[in-house]
Amino acid sequence: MSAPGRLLLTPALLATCLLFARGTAGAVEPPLAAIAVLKANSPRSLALVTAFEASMVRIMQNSGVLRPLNPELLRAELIKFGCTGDQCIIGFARDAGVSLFIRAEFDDSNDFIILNLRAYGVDLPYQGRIVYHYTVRIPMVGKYGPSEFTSITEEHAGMFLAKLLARFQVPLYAEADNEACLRLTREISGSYPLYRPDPVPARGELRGFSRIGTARIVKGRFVSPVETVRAGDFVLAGFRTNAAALDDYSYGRKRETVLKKPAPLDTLYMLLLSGPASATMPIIAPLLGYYRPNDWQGLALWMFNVAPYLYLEINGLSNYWANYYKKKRTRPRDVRAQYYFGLYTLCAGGVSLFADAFSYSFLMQASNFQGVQPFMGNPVTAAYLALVAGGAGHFYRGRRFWGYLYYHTDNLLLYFTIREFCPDKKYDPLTRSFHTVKVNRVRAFSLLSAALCVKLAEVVHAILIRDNIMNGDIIEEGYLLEPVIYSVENAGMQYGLQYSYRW
Amino acid sequence: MLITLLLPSVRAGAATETEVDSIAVFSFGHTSIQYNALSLKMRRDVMDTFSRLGRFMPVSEERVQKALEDIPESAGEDALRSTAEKLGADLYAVVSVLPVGNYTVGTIVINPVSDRFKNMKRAISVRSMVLMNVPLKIMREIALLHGDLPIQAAVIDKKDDLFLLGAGQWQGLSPGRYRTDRGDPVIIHTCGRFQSLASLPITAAPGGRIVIRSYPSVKGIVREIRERIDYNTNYKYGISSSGAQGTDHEKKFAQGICLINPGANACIPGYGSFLSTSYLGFRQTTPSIPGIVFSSLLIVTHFLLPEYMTGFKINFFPGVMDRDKTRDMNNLQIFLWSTLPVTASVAYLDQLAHQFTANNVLPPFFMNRNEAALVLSTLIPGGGLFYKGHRLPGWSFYLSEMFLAGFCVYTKDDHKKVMWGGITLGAVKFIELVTAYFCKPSFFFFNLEQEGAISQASLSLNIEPSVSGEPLYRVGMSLRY
Repeated sequence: MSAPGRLLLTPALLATCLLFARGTAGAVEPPLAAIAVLKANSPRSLALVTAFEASMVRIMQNSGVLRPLNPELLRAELIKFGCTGDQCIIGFARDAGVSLFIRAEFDDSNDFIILNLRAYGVDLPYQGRIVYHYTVRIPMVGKYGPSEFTSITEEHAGMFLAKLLARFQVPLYAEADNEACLRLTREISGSYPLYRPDPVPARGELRGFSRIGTARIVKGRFVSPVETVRAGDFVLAGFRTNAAALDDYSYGRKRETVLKKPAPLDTLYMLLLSGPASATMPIIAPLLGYYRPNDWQGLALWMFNVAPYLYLEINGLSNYWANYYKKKRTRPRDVRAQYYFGLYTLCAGGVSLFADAFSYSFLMQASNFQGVQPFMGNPVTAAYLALVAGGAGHFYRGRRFWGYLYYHTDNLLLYFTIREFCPDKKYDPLTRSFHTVKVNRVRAFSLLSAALCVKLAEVVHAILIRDNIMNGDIIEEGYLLEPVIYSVENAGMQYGLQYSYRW
Repeated sequence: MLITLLLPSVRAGAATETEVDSIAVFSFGHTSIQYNALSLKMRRDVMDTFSRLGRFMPVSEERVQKALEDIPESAGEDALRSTAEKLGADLYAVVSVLPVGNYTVGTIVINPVSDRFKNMKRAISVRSMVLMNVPLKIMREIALLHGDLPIQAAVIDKKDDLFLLGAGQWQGLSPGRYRTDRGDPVIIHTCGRFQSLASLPITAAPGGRIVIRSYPSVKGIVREIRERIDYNTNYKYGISSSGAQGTDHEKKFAQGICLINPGANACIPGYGSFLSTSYLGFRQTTPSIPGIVFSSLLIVTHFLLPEYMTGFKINFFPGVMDRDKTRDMNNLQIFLWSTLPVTASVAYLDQLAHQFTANNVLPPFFMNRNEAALVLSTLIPGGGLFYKGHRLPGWSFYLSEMFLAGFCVYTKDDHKKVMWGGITLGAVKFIELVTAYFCKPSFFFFNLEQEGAISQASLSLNIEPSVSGEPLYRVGMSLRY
């Protein structure tokens, strides 16, 4: 054989050896998974189909938890035989020995594409039931090419599989080993509910199973109750560890793709920018932060949320407390508290909504793979912002709900704490002197403690929370909470609340 | 290689049938390519909806298509019924679309094959001026139809103490206890996609059926369909699709309120509000004369009310005190002068409401119309009502709130009066906010897309230019039977 020929053969040989080695070393083959995209109604969504199938196969193979079938060929065959309904798909999967069937549909609606994913579990305990259902609205406003399509599909494939694996379970059956002991096909340890299946029914019929107790297992071997376990009994094992790892991997990969690597200088810039940003927030945030990138929701929220604090700021700074002494008038504690609060809002407090105004649009671009965003995703910056202004760290992370929650909690606690520490100065016209009203120290220090506790929790939360860079919105159409009225047998009525989730 | 080995399984899977109630959905070709495509889409969407609601499994499209090829085009009801029987369906539905006057009318006629579903016989028609909404409206009606359909599960077999039922997760079941028509509950132990193992009331026997009082959760599906209808409606009637000049109409709307309209009213009070509306890029703008006259009169009132109340004796400018001008009167004058921009904004929104109605265009932000109306009402008295096209209620709220605010300012020193005035003002404002958020928009073309099944008969008229330029009159009558 010629040298180039040998060179070409070597990787193939290596791959075959590796495959063989993996096949013999692994005691159990991973469950077989079939993926089929059964609907795509536009050229754009057809481009997504190929990218999605490739992403699913790649992630499954890399994780080693599931064994994928060739999705392209499977899709062609299913469509050719008109096998696109639930009944047919489940029948096919059962006959083919597939443990998990993932059905995908792309529905193009101009500005967005809806991706619908359903995973059918075929073996016990599911027997055709849908294990997980994921519907996401993927925005398509921006510049999208093959690389963006690949990134989008890879993200959703990763997220879907992570959530699916967190729920999916496979039965591990008890088998007699060489030492005439019962053991499982996978080396797991811990306490698991033990199930006994009914005899195998006729083809296509449901197989019953019942829980017979709890088994304690060490490295795949039954420790107790040894006397009750029979060959054929099973426990259900999940993939939560793999799911968590996949989830972390997907998030990390997205961060690497869309956010610039965090640098200490980013935090330094933010530190230098804080004062001017806070002072100019009432002008800069609405015009450049919300209005310019069309963030109307942000603008409306800003308008209603900032109004009371801006009032306090303007009122506090314009009504200087020392003037009350010159005019020989009683100085209420609110006047001095508003002044200090106004100073805080001017120098630092305004950073919160400045961060919201800009980070929201940056992260929106990042979530849609529209370029690499600088200054974002730095936990140190998030911690610093959370420390100096209420909710700023969360706004920086793109978490508007948490941001406003901390923003109001911090500001209210801070204002009332300052107010408690600022005593009233009453002017006595008879003696022509001021005297100080006693401060309620218990209330003041209670409020201060509460403010510090909230701040500590906020900083830690801001460091730990993930950046809001997920692409698309998950649609949870099946969840419903509604009041219900039932008629009962004795002609009476029964009232209640019903929570339902429809697959 | 593995997939090649699995191909027989695909064939076997295709032959798999589970005992669930089924429906055959038929549609027939149309002479127009557009309506033919719409009819096919409607059939697919109807099948999808039946499948999602978990009561009737649609017979696969390929089987229906094959069966339809054997039926002559002029075949009647009996041929369809016998075809549905051959397909093993318990019901059959015929979907059709046709243009009627200015509308497109979509109809679904559901007929029972099995005697168990005699009460399902009905015909539902919907109309729309947005083609893509016709299938969605039919889907919504089908979803609503399912709201009170319990599960009719076949009792397939008995195994020891448990019964095998022909209903599972697809029908909405999961392990647990359910009420039945026989008094005693059914307890589901193991649940598959289309079958369950359950403990049944003692009266149940294999070969029979049991009615489980579990109903499909239609609200989520209806909400999703409504959102899609809204999207299509907004896409067709949105200001960007109406041929309006320029882009970024949301920004223009905001600029119109904050900058253009105040400027225009400073130059030509009242009429300036109408002139500002053209900034949004409408193709045709026609003024609402009553609106202009009324808003001009209001602006005059802002300047002259204190003068009139004092017999034209006080100084015209607020803040300039004289012998005849009391402090209360001065407060009122300051209030009236400072709220001039509010009146100008109300006049602008009134003219815009007229333009939107006249041009068959929806305002910006209409996908979030309730939130937008709430924000506008918070900032401008009656703003949300004008935004949704209700001009008269908008003016009513504006006048009430301005009167009450003016009263509070005028009686500033009388705390009791201010308190009662303030409480009333707060109550009126609250009612306005609630009304603005929850009220239906008044735009006819929008409400047409929101309406449900049409009544027994409806008449429609339309006049449009023909190819030769002459007017073409269309009269349509749709009759539901």
